[in-house]
Amino acid sequence: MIPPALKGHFNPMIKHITIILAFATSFGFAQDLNAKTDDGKDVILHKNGTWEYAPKKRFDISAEGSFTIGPKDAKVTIIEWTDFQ
Amino acid sequence: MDKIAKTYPNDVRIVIKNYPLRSHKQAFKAALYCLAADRQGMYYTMYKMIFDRYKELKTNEDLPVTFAKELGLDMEQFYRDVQDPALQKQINLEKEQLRSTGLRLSVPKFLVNGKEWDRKQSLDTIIENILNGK
Repeated sequence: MIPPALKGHFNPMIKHITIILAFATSFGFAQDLNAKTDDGKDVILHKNGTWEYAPKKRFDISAEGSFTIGPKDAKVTIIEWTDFQ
Repeated sequence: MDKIAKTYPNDVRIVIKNYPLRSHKQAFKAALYCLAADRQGMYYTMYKMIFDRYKELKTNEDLPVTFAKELGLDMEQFYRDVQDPALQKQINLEKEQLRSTGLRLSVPKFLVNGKEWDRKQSLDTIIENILNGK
């Protein structure tokens, strides 16, 4: 099944992944490989020839000096980068 | 964001950061005007005023000065703050913070508790899940 995010990138994406997987398996790599899709998503290429999207990374970004609304000790913090578009 | 802030006044903190794109020539100055307004407690009001009439900045990049006057800001201080290098430094820091994530440099960009919001679920759903420990 083609993941929705890959639509439009499927052919080149699969081509890239296939090449990397072939490379990895032919040299007998014992570890999974990390790669990026054309649209910037992280994927994990497993040594058994399968792949999946990598779990989302968590970024620790300081709010110091930025404009904030809501309490500092809120359970949820949303950071928005904006450009007035 | 207005709706989120009103719905979850005690549980959600919203942090607004600037990432003025080079292709939007007036964006950096608009961000400076917002931060200058922030020093008089009017960031968000200025932000919304600029946001609503952003297209007009193309022909008048100093339109926010009019907004500042309408808001009754201390104009002497406002002009001084707009020139303050610390505000430019803050905008550059905020840009660098987004770059440091390695995420695609497109805006608006959101992190929810440090993780990128990919829009597969609504913000309300994600917030409710976090608040309910899911």
